Amino acid sequence: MARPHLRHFASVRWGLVGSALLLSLIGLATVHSATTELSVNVLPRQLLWIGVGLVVLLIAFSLDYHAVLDFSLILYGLGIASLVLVLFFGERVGGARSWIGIGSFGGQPAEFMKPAAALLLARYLATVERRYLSAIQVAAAGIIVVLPVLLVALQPDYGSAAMFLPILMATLLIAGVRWRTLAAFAPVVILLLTAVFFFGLHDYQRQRILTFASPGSDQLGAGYQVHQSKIAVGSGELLGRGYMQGTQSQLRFLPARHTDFVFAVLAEEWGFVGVLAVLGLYAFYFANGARVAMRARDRAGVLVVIGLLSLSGFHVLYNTAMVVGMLPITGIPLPFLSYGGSFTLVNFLATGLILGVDLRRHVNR
Amino acid sequence: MSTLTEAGHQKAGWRLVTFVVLLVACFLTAGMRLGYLQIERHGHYTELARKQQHRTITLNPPRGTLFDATGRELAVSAPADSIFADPQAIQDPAALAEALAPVLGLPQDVLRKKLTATNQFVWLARQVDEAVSEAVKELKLPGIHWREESRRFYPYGELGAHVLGFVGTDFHGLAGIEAQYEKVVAGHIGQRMVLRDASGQLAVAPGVAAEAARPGRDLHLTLDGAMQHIAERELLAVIRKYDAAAGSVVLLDPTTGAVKAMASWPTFDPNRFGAYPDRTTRWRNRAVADAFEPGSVFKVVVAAAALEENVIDPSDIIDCQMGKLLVQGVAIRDYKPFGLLTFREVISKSSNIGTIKVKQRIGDPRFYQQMLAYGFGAKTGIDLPGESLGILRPIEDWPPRTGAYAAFGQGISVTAIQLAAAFGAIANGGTLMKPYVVEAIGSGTQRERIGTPTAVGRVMSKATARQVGRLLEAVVAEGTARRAQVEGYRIAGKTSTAQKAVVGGYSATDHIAVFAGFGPSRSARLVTAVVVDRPRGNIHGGVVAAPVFAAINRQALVALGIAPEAEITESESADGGDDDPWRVEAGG
Repeated sequence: MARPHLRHFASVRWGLVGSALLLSLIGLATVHSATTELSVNVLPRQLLWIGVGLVVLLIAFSLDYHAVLDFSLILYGLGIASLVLVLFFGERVGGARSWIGIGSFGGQPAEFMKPAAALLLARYLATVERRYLSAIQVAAAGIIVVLPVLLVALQPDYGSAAMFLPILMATLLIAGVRWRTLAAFAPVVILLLTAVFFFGLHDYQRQRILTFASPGSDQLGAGYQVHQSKIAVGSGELLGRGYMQGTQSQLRFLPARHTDFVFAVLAEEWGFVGVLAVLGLYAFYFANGARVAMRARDRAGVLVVIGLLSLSGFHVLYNTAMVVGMLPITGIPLPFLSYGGSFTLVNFLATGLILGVDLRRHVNR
Repeated sequence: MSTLTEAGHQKAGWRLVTFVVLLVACFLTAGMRLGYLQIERHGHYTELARKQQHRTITLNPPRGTLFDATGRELAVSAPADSIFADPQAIQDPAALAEALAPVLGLPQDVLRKKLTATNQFVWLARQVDEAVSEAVKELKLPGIHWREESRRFYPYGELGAHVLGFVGTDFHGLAGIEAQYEKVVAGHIGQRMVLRDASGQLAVAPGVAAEAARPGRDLHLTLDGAMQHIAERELLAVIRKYDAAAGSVVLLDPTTGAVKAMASWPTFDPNRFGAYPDRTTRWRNRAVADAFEPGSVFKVVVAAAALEENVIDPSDIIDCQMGKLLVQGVAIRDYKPFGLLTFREVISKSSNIGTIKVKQRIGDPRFYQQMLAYGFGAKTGIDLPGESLGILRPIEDWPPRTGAYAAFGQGISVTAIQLAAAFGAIANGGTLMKPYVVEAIGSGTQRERIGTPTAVGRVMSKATARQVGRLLEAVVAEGTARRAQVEGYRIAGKTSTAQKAVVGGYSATDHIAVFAGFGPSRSARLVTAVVVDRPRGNIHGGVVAAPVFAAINRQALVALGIAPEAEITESESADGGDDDPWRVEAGG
């Protein structure tokens, strides 16, 4: 059992920590700009989450990931239990019963479920000695993911539910899956999605997807958000309107300015140069993460890192794509930038775990 | 826990590369899309943003005050609230309409329709009274707002309505001086760009360009409120007395052309100009817009030309052929048979035949030239909108007998203002003055005189003007216009009892009674034209129109501060021994 010593700090991947912190600071500034019109100041709260996140990062960093993986089934079980609980006792946030807590303290179980599922997947697939996964193993991995997906979909929060799938895909890819194995599962997946579209969606959700197919059709209804978001992004131009000068956000045309559409605020106020810088920071973060995966000591380490990276990576991609009108609008936050407690903690937790894998690349067990 | 095998590790390496490549590809796609939106299409989206965020608000400045010649405020601007609604912010339009209807005095269904509009701005009532505005504010209804605007108010109601005109709800002068001097009196409408937020609230943005509103300038009119009142009162009286259809009165200062009063009937109250079913009839300023066949007053044209050419003397005898004259095979008659008359009597008794015979001595071209000199067939150029030219065909186009008919005022049309200006030329010694209504622009140190007396041209020599004046004195003293006499003042003038031209001839029943004249006749201060359209009971200019002149001038000449002349009989005048080249002779 290795414990981090002072000497280990020399080999900490500071790039990962640094980019995470920098993104958090940019997030704070942007959230501040987006919330000047609100009566409550959300900044201290977000600052608190970042502080707690750093503590979580340190704890995750200090734990041996193997120990964490040993514990992952329990984490997963706790996650599933809280997802069931939230269905009965949760509070509604934007139409979905997704939030649980006492007073103003609490969180969204779905967010904590994401890394728990990633860890359990890593634990299960790391045990596979074969070069390629069998259909049964793929199916087993699928079940690990499908269970929380179904529970989250019941809230109903299809956006969050969908975010589990990239974790599965990425870990399967790394763990070794044949294309034909995947292809065999394709009809099942397609059938499932079709059934969900026609029977599982509310009218407004179906409308969102149809609106995405032809964005101009309904600019005051379902298309309003994406329309306003594109105006914000487009009017940012090369250099942006300037900090706190984004009219789309200051005049409240943008929906969910400090949460899901914080990237649009950023794009409007800092322009193309600004968003490229932020995307560059993300790329730097993921490149550091990928480097950790490549140098990881063992298969478990690789899978842990890949699972967590694909989680935050896909959030970044989906969120930016949604903001520029490439994907349907759904409540997907942007890692480190969006205001919100649960997801901020999850991202710092993931960063801490990845750092831990990196630290232990030389350590023999 | 197991570690990866060597082969597995390598395989995992390749997979990692695939993973990274996929990630990079996705990032590049997102980046390209961002670039497309922010660089390639930025103009489009910036324009969309501007469209939904910017609103232009017009700032209406107060209009200038209109003063009469003595400084009375004839038109003023006062602040008044306009009520508007944001239908998007209204939950229950029916209840709101019910609450507002009695306050605004509008039907409920009209209000409900407005309140359910799909846009975010709809006027409910413009420029309401203070009481209404206070009542609306008191209700504190959601989605109901107000904006301070300026409202035009005419303190004297109908007084001078046709000259003043009126102002529409959107602050544009629509008639009269208000329209004619719109650019001066309206001021500069300012604009302010404001930012609009998603809920439709407007906020003034710092640094966003605003174009300040400049208040309108005052206008000082030549109109005298007291005289205008007299003119309107007497016009209304004669119209009531003879059940006439319409009428107009013009009072000019003959030496300058300044309009002292201008009345037209039917009239309206400019404070509620829209409240009449027959409003377009009421709004018309007949004194400048309506042309009519002038009848016998037109004989002054023949008289001026003949006297100027020296082809006749007022005492020359003319055979009026007992009321019948053949002109190119067509009989022309007098209203009663006359035998031998002096030229003075031809005018004072208004013989058509005698006038035609005098006209024949000068010929049509000279006669036509005299019409033009008087200003007939052309706009006077008065600073009021809607002036009519009248009808005067060029001499080349005259059908047979046009000259003969025109000698007694048929076949041509004139306006009341033309008639007043023409008589003004006789009154002032032969110069046609351009009539005007606005004396000066601006008040105090900004005051700028624009209404300077402008001579259009010489109509006749001074001597001829004096001779024509003496002829017209005779008309009032002993002829058809005795009812135009004003005690203490010598008056000159001429009546008309004109048949009303209708399609294909003249109406058997409709006439226009006219009187044009001035006083005191030998140093005229006021020229007056009276036109009464379609009087019933009596139709004669001498009976219907001449007394209006007398009634007006009896008060107006005193109001002008003109001392009454000593009682001058015709013989006294003849014996006066002054330097008159032509003396009025007694008798008749």
